[in-house]
Amino acid sequence: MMTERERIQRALEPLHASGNTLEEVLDMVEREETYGRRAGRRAVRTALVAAAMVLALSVAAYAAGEYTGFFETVFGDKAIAGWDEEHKVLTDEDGNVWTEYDMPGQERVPADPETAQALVGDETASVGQSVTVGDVTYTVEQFVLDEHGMGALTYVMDDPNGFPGMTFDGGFMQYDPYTPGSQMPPLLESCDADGNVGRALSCVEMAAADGTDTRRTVAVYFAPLESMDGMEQLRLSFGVVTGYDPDTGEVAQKRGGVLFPLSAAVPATALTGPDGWSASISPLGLQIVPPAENVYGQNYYFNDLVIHIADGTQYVLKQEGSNMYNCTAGCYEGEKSNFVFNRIIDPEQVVSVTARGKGSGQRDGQPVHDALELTFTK
Amino acid sequence: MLTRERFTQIAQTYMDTIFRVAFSYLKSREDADDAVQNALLALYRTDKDFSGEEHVKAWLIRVTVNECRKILRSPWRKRGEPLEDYEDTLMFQQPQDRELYAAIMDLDGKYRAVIVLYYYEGYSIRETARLLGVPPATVGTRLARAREQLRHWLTEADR
Repeated sequence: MMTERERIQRALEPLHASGNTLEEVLDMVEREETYGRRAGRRAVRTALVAAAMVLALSVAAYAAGEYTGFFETVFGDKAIAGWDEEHKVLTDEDGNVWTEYDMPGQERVPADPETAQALVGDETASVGQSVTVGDVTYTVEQFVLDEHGMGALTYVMDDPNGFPGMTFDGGFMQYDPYTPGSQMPPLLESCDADGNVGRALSCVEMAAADGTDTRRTVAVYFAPLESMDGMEQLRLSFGVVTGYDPDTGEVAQKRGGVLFPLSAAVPATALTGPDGWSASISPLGLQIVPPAENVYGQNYYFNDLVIHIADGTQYVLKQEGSNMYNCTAGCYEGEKSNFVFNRIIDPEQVVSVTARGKGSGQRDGQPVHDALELTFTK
Repeated sequence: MLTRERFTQIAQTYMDTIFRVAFSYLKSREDADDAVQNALLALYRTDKDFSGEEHVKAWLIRVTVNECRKILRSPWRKRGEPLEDYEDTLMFQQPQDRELYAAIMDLDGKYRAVIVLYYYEGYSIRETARLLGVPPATVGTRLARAREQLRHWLTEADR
């Protein structure tokens, strides 16, 4: 008779890394040895020079004690801009051309502050709470969210030690859990009135391009992973590494956070799709809901998602074929799909949303792999 | 820093191990391959002085787990290939092996990782806890719940 262990080993035995994995890693190693580790990102830094000029406004405003510049920080220039037409082809300072960099391209459309103010200004709330974890002081400044819980917030972190172990290339925050003093990724949760329940939100944080050695402003884009029904507050918690034992692999950290009440939500506009699919769009994000009789569960995805605007322009939210990804955070909330925009959208001006992708599941006891092509209209 | 030869040897030895760990977290071949690549690159870049094979393996698993957590938080998760398409390519010895595999993949992610490390890799509960960065009691609870959910398939296999 086989033991439980033997049965499970036999069931998992067929899983193997793809055949070209090692070859690709060795190729990357070869390039690192030739060109250095981060050469490919230099072009990104160059592209952010213009961003720094605008972002300086928000930091200066903060220093004066006012939380202005929120829209510029969140929707102005945080995301990478300036990618060339091939999206994956970068040229470093020495003229070396890189074609392997796999970060999706982003088309940035900075928010017009007046339009942003008109669409979401009333719902944008100030927090102004600080917490000190280890040597790092975090100050949550402002946030805004829509009726589905999608939105953005900003916080400032002050670290007199100069952010040990962290890098901010292209705005992307890289953490090092093995370096004492390094921070851990922040955790955002929705909570009930007493702060007792924690329901996770998916969040992506982007550091401002114009930070100093000891101060960084961070924009966090978020979408709920679980229902926010009945939730009345948000809790943003932070962690700082206090020790790492290389023998056991254990990371010790201090944690702390701030709790603040939800603000009024930005309303979303309902859209109708075919076969029971529906969607709703707000200035901040898009939610797609499968039909009540959903045979796919979460096992569906869209690799081509376009918002058509009344003036004839398009907002390509996601187009994997051309390696474009113009949304900041995306996740499933149960069987719903949430996408947070990297710009402000006026739902009044949206004509339709087209979504193409695939879904896999069971129908009448038979496996199905369907191509999905959906158009949502008001 | 490891020599190229030593790095290649370690990568070949543990690539499938960390792929299984990554796949158990991510349920996506593309994402798991990304996690494996990132973990191997971290290995190449580290100047850590490993005390032996087990140390290297544990370190790689730990880094892979961190990479998986990072990928799960990323908006750029690759969702190119439906899981079923990949599973159709897997070669199982017996039909019941495929059923048990499917049952394991239906488990919550936190249970899958424990199953892989405890059952497949043969780590103890305490060692699994260290690798995942959770208390041993949590691993014990997850293991018990996973075992409970798999009981049907584990007993069916004997019939």
